[in-house]
Amino acid sequence: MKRALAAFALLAGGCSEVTLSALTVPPPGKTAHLDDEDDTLDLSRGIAIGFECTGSDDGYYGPCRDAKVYVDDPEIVAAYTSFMDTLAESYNTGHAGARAKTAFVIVGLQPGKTQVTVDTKDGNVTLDVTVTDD
Amino acid sequence: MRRLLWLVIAAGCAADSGALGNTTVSPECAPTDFACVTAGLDGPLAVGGVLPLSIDVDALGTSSGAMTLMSGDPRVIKAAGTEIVGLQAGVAALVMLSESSAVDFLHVYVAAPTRVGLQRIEDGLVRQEVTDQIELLVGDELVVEVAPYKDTQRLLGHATTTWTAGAPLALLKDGVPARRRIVARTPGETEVTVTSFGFTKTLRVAVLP
Repeated sequence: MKRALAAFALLAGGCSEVTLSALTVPPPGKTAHLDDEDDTLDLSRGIAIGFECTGSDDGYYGPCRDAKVYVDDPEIVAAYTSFMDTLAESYNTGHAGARAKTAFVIVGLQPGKTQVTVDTKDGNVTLDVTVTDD
Repeated sequence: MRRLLWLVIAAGCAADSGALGNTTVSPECAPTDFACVTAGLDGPLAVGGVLPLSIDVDALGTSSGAMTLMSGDPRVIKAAGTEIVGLQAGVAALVMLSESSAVDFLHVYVAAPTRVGLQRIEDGLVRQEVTDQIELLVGDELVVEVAPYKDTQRLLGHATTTWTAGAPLALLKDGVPARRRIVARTPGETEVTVTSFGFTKTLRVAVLP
């Protein structure tokens, strides 16, 4: 119910927003931290993180639609579209049924800074990614 | 009946799930090789160790497609097909790719072995590490497997292995490179020596009349 209210609140505001939420944890002593407020992602070298994407735009709220991911420097991180074996409710000026969740996997390949852009039909978000050799 | 019981137990404790819950990963082995099946990925991969993996997609309504592995840190783990090799101590993500999509991933630890040990295999199950002299009667058989260890922790993976034994024994291949079937042939005292991962382990064996 709270999720539905939040969805309708966003829709009533008429804003377009893509929200990324981490799905996985790093191994002990390693870093994989997604900050959706500052749009930053910190990763240890060799470590991966999975996150899901939720979009709200023009009356729609639910899993991001037509999602793609781009990396500025593929030497520093690798980014892949992924999937989850679960559904999430969606709303499109009313209940629009369950849709497959939209997920991504990013892997820190070597120390450095780069940007990863998640581009969807519901908007896009660019993450500042830092990979450290810890 | 006892084997069936172990098979049931093995089915519930032999694998690790990927981080996204889309896959189950375990060492590749025959379903009746209980010593292998029951182990799962229950320790770090040894530096120099080779480990073939079985990757099953758990998504409902979807079978496992063609899968390739990508190492998050090729200094730590080398991935070739669905086989991984430990190269240096550390931890790295192992990403399961189907075409250009990541199906799941698993972080795998690699550790340098400090010794090798011999494990006794009985009824297809690892019984224990053999640490003391073995006594056999003529005609007795014993299956042993060499495994890398970091102190007391058993590591995963196999490497090139050489075996030697004295005349009272016959060392027979058992279908797995790291295993041998020791058969007592004549009375006497001797040693079984195995070298793997750069370490040598010697087992004293007495064959009694």
